[in-house]
Amino acid sequence: MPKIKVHEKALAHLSRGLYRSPASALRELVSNGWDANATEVTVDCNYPHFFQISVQDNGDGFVKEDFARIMSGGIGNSEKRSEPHTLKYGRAIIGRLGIGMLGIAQICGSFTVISRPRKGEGFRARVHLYDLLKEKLDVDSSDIVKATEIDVGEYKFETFEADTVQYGTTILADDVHPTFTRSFQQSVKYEGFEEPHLDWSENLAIIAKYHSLQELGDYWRLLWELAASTPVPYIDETAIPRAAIKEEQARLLSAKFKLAVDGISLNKPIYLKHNPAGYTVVKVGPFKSQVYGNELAFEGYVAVQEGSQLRPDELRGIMIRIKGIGIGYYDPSLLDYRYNQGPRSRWVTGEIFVSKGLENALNVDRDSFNRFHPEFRVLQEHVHSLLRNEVFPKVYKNIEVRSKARAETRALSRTEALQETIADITEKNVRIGESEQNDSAAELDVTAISKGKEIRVFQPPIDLVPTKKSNRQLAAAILSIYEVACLQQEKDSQREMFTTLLMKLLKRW
Amino acid sequence: MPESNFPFDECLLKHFVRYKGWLPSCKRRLKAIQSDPKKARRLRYFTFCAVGAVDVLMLDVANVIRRSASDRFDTVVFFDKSEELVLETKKRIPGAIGFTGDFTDVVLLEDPNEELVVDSADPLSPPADSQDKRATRQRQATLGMRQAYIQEFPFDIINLDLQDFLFRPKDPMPGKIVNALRRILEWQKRTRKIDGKGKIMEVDEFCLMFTTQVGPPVLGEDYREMLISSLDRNIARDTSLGDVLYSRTGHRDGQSLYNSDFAQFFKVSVPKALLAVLLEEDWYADPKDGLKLFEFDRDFKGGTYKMLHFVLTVKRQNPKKTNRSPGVVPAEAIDAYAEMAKAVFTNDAIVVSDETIAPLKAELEKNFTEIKARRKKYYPFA
Repeated sequence: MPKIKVHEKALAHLSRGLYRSPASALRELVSNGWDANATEVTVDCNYPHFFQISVQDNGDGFVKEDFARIMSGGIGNSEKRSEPHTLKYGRAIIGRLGIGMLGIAQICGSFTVISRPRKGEGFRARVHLYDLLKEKLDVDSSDIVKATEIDVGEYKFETFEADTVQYGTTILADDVHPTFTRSFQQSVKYEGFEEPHLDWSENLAIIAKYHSLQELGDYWRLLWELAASTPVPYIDETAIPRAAIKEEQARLLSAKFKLAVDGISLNKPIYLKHNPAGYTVVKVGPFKSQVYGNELAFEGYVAVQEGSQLRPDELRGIMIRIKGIGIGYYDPSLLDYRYNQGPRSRWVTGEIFVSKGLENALNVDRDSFNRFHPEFRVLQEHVHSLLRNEVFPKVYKNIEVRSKARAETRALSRTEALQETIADITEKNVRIGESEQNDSAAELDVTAISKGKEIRVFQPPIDLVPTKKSNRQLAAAILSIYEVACLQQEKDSQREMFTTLLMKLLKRW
Repeated sequence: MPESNFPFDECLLKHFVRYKGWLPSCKRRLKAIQSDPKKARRLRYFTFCAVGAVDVLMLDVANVIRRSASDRFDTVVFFDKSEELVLETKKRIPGAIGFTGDFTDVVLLEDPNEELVVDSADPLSPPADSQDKRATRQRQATLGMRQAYIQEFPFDIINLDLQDFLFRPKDPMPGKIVNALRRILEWQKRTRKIDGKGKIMEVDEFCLMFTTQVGPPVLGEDYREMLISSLDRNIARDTSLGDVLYSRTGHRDGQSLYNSDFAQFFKVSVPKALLAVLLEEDWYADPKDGLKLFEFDRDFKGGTYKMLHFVLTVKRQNPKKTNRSPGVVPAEAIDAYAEMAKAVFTNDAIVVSDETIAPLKAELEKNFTEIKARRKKYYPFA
């Protein structure tokens, strides 16, 4: 049977248009640092001017031969290095060395790679990617499209002085596209821009003031997205209530991985604290299953910030992490949850930590999933079932409790308002009590009695006031002040007293 | 980590210059800008600090440079030759603003519409008539970086701690560095919004620190003639200067001094040339603080060479050039120039040597230790 093949042009196209944001491209380089056992990855964006970008790690580095192999055909190959490579600190391999390195092509046209491995020969190489590649591919330009290969650029090795270079790998992108530079410059120049603090926890407080990262601009978004998607720890294990991330945090800490961007040491951008109505947290899993013979295992949590919208909006939804790496960002559709929860869906955040499976469901950008992949569907159904049967029922129950408590507080404060209004005008002590009204009485039993320096007002039980629920207390209060006004002898005085009491009452209501 | 060849971090002679020359001047400048509480602000510093950022950290230790509310050295601007060096430096002084490239090339980049470019045009916006190719992008980036650099002006301290010759033989007169200095003096007249609160700063006085290597041993003919005739003109205008020069060097004119003692000739003629450039660019050196001149011999792979460090306070001429009749220089600036020129003839440089620094050695070492501790605080992996 004839074979069906993929043309190399498709791969060449991918080398220039794989990621939807600069953070996604940088995330791949950060992942390479993780895979190289780096304990620290430093990203420098040349803030606030953004003319260069560099990603530097203190990991194992890789040898000249590996670099040459990747450049001459290994791009996109998930095989990482020629030498067997063992990850330390309990880490699992997450990146793709070749494609990750070319991911930066979306931001720049040329870059330098410097690597000093602990074993083997290091190197310094200058990589130039061809200009106008996509345009040339579309017309099959003969200088780049050959029989079976597509050249996307060229590289040359430069003088490498191992002694002057730290162990690990550095990628320096200097030919950063002016559009990137300009966009980021603009994002830090606009009026009202808040400069990120070097202490990440201070930044979370700044971010929490905004509805959306859009208001903070591209640079803040870059920081936030890197913090959200890379395997950095949470600020602490209480970042999510009910110890929901305690184990995950322990895993992240044991991986000994730090990421700093422009001097800011990043942590996960979530810290659920101080919500007056509290949080409802439901644990997901641990879940294990076989899907078409493949193992799928995950756990996680869904957290609801009761009665209050999450800030920024980008925290809303469910984020899926495979081996610690965020796939895309928080999905506000809750993985296409079909039940409309109105404003309550803006209270929900969650993370699913996938330890086995789901990689085959990844789209090529590694930022999204094939939503009809069987493994994804299994995860989706589990999460939806949890939302439907546990999370939202709890949320509605809590809403009811809060509503009742709020109504009681409101009723109390309105009774006080009535009491104070009458006391202020009449200059007497006021007591408000309940009359002995029964259900069958034709008229409402509201009375006011003046005794010495005290006025006693009796109102019927509030549920018996025959008007709509939201107006009952007001109606009873107006009838009460009418009765108080009627204690005056003269009609004119009664009218005057009633008007004064009414105006004062409404002011306080 | 890429390193420069000279161990700046360890040289106590160089640190003596920082500690006794730069630091007091920077402190004085800070005091001046803090003296009016309404205008008080943080000090803005431009430097070629190199990876170790010793000067910046010394000023940080002395609380002369203060970090922003977000903990950044955002009033420190520096230049270095490569991205790697800029990157390494920024790790040690987080939040400082680094520019990459050959400083004089960037400053002197031909740009016929400079005023337009700096204040309104955006070199990074997509050009309508060029394709998205490397050459186009590089031109955009270079212009953009230059624009960003110009927009960082003015500074309270400009520390041109260059390791190079002031007069490079192949440069046409008056030389790249002098031309770059002229541009800088022009950009120093810019105003700038500070602290994001709409406060505007303008500088009418700043501290200029300038470093050059003595040499090259054989100056180009143009430069030699320029410096000799400049010296001789001064002596002709004020004959007492000839006597001063004679008592200091044993020579009465520029040519014979040049022929017999090049280093002395250089130490007198170069500061004078610097004073003249300031005067031409609507500034002048303030005689109140005088001119501090340090020299020391630096051992290097190829032998020994002599470094000169100048420290002076520069003031804007009043009224400004734009508010004066053409060709008129305020009397105050002319008098100051004459006074400073005389000081150049009279005062010899402070020779920094092991003997000079001996009484201060412990203090310098202590300061070094504090600087290193501060560096470690910002960059534990240093």
